[in-house]
Amino acid sequence: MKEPSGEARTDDTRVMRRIAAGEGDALGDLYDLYASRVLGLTTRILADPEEAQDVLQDVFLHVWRNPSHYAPDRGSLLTWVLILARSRAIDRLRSLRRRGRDRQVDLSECQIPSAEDLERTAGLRQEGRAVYRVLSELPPDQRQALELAYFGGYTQTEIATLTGAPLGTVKTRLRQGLMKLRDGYRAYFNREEPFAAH
Amino acid sequence: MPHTEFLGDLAGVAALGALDGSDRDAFEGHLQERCPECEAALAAWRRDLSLVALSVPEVVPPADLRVRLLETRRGIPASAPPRKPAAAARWLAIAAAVLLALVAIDDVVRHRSIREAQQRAAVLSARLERSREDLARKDLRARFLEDPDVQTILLSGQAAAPGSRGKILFSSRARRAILVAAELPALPPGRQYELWFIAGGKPIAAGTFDPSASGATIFESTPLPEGAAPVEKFAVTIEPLGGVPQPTGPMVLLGG
Repeated sequence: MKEPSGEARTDDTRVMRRIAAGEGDALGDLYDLYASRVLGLTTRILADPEEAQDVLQDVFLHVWRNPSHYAPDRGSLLTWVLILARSRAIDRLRSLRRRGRDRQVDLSECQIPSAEDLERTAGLRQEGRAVYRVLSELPPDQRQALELAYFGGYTQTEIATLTGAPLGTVKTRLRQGLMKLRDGYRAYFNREEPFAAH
Repeated sequence: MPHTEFLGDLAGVAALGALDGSDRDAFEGHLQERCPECEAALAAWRRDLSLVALSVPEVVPPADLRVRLLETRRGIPASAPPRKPAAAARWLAIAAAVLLALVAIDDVVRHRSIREAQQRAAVLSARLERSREDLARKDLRARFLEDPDVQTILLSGQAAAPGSRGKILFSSRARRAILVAAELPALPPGRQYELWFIAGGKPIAAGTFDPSASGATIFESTPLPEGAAPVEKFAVTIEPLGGVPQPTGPMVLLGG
């Protein structure tokens, strides 16, 4: 993974060192930096604001209790926090789903961008807008498969059943979608590999 | 299992958490035998996928959440009422057993009638039973969508909602149906949609649900009772909140 600016990574290491030292302010600083992005993600996955906020709390408390789990050589702090947040949100979603208490999946959510969508992206930071554009340029079937997996926590077989496509087709869509996503990042960020900036 | 291109290609879908069946077994088995290439590929895909998280709008948390977080960190109980955590069955079983015992003692001590104490115990007992059922459904539901014998039945919009459409995924083995529907209109207060099995010409209630805000819905039915005639059709009608034993309202979807 290509290093972002040395400064950004030093900032990451510094705040985590303060957290490891038990500095409460450091958790507040981290929260101020990343909470909106984390809550954006958990809201997209869980829809219910209380569930989404619960997971937000869980994630930051986990960071507070386990600062040693972050390895700077493996990526940025934001990346680590987002991976944590998605993992916990999907676990919560699958648990709600088993009890019949999830919100219902809207298959129409994965669509070609409209004027509304473009207005929505105005609120995204530069990097988010670039990712949104890459996603919107994927063939709709690939985008839908990726979004059902990433935001919906569905497996390849479940996606096949939900969309009515054969399993083999879904596997191909997911694989090709992933490759196109990576190619798209490279094109927009013009780097060997993407990174998440602050 | 030696590393192969096939296994390496699974890393991206594995990072999505979307592998299942033999693919998942193969990949997890392979990782257990330590493959540095696949571990690196998995980590790289997880990092790349985390960018997808940035493609959705940010949501500013309510101000009190920051306060509660920092108070919790300090070990001070939050001033806001604590959120109910997701109930694990064992926790619920222990808590319910303790509560049942306390209710009985408490009521007798306060000279309430024995009958009232029994009623309260019955309510707690019923709640415990429902959560046991919920857990029993877990395995069933997890396997349902992977059942190769699942039949797909298309439903078409009826006069009450001509623009709506849907399909039923029916597992006769599991005795359950999953409805996937689109363009279901919003309902006035006091009304819900109800799903019906039509078996031997007779409707059997299969559960009630609300349409999602945008009109698309996925809903899992209650089980088809044992001994029911073979299911010929499926229907969705509009009924009073909570549903009714036999259909009374207009039909929105029908197929079979």
